Amino acid sequence: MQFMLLFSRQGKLRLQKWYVPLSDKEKKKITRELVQTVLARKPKMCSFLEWRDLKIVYKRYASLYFCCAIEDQDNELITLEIIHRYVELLDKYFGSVCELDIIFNFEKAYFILDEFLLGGEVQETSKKNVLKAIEQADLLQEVSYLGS
Amino acid sequence: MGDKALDGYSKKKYVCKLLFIFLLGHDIDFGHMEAVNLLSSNRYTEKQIGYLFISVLVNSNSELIRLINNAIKNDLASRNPTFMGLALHCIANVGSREMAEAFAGEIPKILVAGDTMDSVKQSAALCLLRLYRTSPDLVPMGDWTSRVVHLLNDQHLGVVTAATSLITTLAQKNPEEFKTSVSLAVSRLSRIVTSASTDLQDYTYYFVPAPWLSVKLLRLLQCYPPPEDPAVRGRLTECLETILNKAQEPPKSKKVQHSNAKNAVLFEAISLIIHHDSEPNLLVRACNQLGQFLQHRETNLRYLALESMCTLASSEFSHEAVKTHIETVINALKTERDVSVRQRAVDLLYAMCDRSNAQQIVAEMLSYLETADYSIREEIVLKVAILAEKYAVDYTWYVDTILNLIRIAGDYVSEEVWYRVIQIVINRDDVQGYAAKTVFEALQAPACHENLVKVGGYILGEFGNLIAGDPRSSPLIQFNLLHSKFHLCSVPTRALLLSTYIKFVNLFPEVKATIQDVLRSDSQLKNADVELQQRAVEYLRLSTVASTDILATVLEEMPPFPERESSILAKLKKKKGPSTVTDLEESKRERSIDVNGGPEPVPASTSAASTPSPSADLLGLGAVPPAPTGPPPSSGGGLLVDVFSDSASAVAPLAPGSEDNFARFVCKNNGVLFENQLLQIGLKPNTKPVDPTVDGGAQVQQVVNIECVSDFTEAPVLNIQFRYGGTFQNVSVKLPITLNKFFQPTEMASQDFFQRWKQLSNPQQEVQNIFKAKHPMDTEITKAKIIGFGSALLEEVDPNPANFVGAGIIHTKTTQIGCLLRLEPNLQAQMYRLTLRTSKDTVSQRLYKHPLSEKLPLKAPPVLHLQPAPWVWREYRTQFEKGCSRPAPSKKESKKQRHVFIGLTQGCVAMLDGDSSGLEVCDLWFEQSPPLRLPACHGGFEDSGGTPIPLKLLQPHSVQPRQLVSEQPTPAVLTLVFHETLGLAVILGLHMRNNPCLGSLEDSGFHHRLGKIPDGSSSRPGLVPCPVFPASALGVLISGYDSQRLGGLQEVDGRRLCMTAVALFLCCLRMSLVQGLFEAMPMASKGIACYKC
Repeated sequence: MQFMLLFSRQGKLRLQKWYVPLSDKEKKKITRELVQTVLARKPKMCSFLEWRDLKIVYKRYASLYFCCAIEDQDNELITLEIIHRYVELLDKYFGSVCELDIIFNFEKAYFILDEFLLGGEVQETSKKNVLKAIEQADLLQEVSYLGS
Repeated sequence: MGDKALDGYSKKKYVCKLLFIFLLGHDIDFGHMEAVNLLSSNRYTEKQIGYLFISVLVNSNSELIRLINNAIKNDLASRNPTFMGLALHCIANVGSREMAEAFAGEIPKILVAGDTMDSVKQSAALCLLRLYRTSPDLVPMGDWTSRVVHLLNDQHLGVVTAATSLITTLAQKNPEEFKTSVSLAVSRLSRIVTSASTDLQDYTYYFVPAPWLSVKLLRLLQCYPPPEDPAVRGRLTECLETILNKAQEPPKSKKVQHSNAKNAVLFEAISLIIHHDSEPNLLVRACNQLGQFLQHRETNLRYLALESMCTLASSEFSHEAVKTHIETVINALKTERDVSVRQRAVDLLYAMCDRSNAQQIVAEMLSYLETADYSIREEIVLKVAILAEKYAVDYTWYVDTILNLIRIAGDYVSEEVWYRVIQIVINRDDVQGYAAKTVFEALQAPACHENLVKVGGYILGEFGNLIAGDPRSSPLIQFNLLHSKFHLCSVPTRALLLSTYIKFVNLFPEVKATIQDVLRSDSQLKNADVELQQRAVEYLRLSTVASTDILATVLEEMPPFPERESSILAKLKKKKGPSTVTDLEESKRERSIDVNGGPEPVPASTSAASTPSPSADLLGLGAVPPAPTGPPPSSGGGLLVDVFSDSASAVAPLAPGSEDNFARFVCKNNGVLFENQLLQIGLKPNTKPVDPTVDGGAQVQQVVNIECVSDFTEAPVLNIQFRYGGTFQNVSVKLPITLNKFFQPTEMASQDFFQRWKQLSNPQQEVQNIFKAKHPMDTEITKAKIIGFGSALLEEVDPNPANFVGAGIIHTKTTQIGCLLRLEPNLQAQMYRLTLRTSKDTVSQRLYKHPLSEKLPLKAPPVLHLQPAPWVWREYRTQFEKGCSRPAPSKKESKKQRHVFIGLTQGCVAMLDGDSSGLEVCDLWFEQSPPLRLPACHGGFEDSGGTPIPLKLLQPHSVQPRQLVSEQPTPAVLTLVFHETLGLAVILGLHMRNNPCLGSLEDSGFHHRLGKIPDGSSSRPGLVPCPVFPASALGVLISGYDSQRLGGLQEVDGRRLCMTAVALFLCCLRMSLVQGLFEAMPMASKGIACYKC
């Protein structure tokens, strides 16, 4: 996977994760183009599209679009389920997640993503294990506050 | 923020706020330092936010990277798994080269250490993967690799998942090193697919066991060919069958996640099956499965099925199975609402097309084209054009298809497409009449696309005569039809139409007056566009002054185009870019050409045209007399003819220039046989064995013993293979072994000679040839030639002392062939008669075309091939300008008449400098970029490989320039020199050194005459009708220019004129036109003389 973007129906970027080195300018350009392309598509259209030399896999959850760019030989359907698994993780952690959760707890969204995907590859597919890692971290946080 | 009083908590808070601001879309250019400080905090939360900031905001070449690396190093060494995890995540997120330098050695150790926690192992594996992607050179392979492979056996599925990604990437680059992963991956996969859906607990996703891991394992296996070990292979086949079987089982859940995960594994399995391409059974099953998906209600599945089938179509095992779904795919094309799905359908139709269904597929694509999205029209047009060409059984269908394309989507028909239809029509005479009729009909539509006017104009200009018999398409009607479109067209199309008109003048004399009227009109003669104006002026002049014969030569039908890869295909490749999918598709297509067969190749014209035809041989340059009947085919007859004529077919596989040299050895036994920058091959009668290594500059000798088994025609070819500077070199040289090398001279008295002469009176035993001398008839030189040829020269045998007679015996292993020859010179007529009689008629027949007829006139060896060649103007120009910048010649020199000789040969341009007393080569340069096509020169002028000919092959001393026009050496004089050995190289000698006209080579518009495409691109074959001017026509043109009626051309003045002259002369390269050149001389010089430089 080359990158993952979360953006709202209004085209506001909520989360971005880049697994290839790109300049900020390029990132912005890609984001702009891609958000436009994806938002222009109708609901019943297929979730995959060719874009430049990448394959884009996207899915909409409520007001949020989750959009992944994968390489040619990567598997589209499993990427779709990566998105879904990530949504499930967020949902489980926040308890029926909504866009605002991600806006205001962006760091958690990133931490969860880092536990699940690393360097663009799936690191841990078990929901339990991912959440356990996050909860442990949260616990450390509590401890350190108690300690201070 | 720089305040030291800020405690850790506040730092964290503010860094976090900065991050938030950044994520809202604002630029943040401070706070980095504080974030780096946070990294070394002992508090987990502070550290965590610090790392997050770095991951999100620090790009890989930040100067802070050293500080960050330090913090990471500490955390990695902390043995605290949480901290290690954070550090590894950070490395994986930033992934810069500096980080790779710092940690690429460390991470493998963490990865394979026994006491590393599973979660750290997972991070370490993917972290290493990221570093390997950024800087593969910095990740050292070592004994850790085998231990990584064994992670595939790990109990923790998370570890296996992460490790599989790493191994896949590493295995792609180092397949040998990770070979053992195949069997491990197969057994792991087998355990997963056979497990019950609850076995894997949390790794089961919607009743699908470990779908991510399965997909990754299947990906890993695609790095390798099918396993060799039959047990592993069997197990893998079982797995794949199980996966295919599961697809048929009823779903365990109605959730889309279940079907997605299941099908993700299925598609990956199908990819592997296609990759292996070895199990017909699995391939057909895969195809059937995809066939089901083609009609699935999920758009995603239909999309993926179309995509996968595209690659499946390339397998010979499943190509037929894919074809059975044609109706479904066509239906998808018509009914899919999503353009990206329709696009896939187009791709698949293209991939599954072969001769059996081409007509149907092309028809469907054409009808889809009418409503297709604009974004993909051009691609569809290209695909239709390619399919129509490739699978045309009947070229009328092809012509119809392309015309339909132009009608439906004219704007999207690129130049390549309409160039191609013209190339094909010109090369296939069975379709020319049909094409003319069809374009004529198509042009009658009230509104037709400009591309149609181009195609129509071109085809009617070439083949309008084929339909002129029908009163409905009489010449005048054809002309009026075309001309009715003229004013609606762009300048390039109009220029093309003007060329069509002049072609009509030749084809249909009855419309000449009408056309002249059109050309004469002010809108043409004084057109603001220089190109149109120039064409109008020249064509008008040409049509007025030139005789019918000249017109017929000049405006002759275009010669066939050499076959080449379709330019459309190249365009499609370019358009699609280098993605893997297309590569697959391309390779598929190439393969399918083999499977299905392309159109029969149109015979290339080059070989036929380069051998001068007897009628063209006006000056006797080729000097190979035609055979009355074919030579006996006994031993492949014709070799010597091949050798001594300039046949390109014999030259092709051999080193350039060797053929020229070859001819010299007919009467000689030593000399340089071949020479290039690396190697010189000489020839001596007796030599010794060779050392395997040859030092630079050293000379070695290799003995070759040759025995003549029977009379032969093929000269043996010497293949020399050697390494030079690491690269492999291959040189093939024809050994100059001809039949006459086995001559034994035989002395005999007059009486014996004539007695034998009479014995050999059987007509088959005698050959005779009468030919013109091309060099001074010097007795001594002629004698030397005859002796060199191998026979004895018999003095005082012939009653006429001027005649030469010779006798010899050709020794072969089986027989001895007596051979007598008699050469009778006629000094008044400058002719020779050569008679040969031998005891074996095959030999006679061979000697009928004997090299002697070449040799006796003492013709200098051909310096360069006479075959005209491509020509690069830019190169030519720069070189000329270089020439111009040379220091001015000294006074003594300047007295001499300077000449510049431009020889066009195979990929080579020679510029010779000298005067009537001798010549030297001053420049030689070679064609490199795609050249122009000089239309006049049948067969020669396409982009050949552009093989350089070494300078030394030129033999300046042997060049005997004949100056045809010598006139007072004023700077404005155009001197024309006919160069005998360069043959048809027309030489433009002029005082170029200070000539301002050099500056305007490009702008003078002669590109058109040289076949350049009007849009200025130079890489395409000239399809614009290029009038060909023999020199006489040039004279006509030049003399035409001095009138006052040149309108706008006056301001361009003589520069244009002069360059046109250059251009035109370069067009005069055909042998048959050389005579015209002579006629043109006085006029040409007159014409140019009136131009004051």
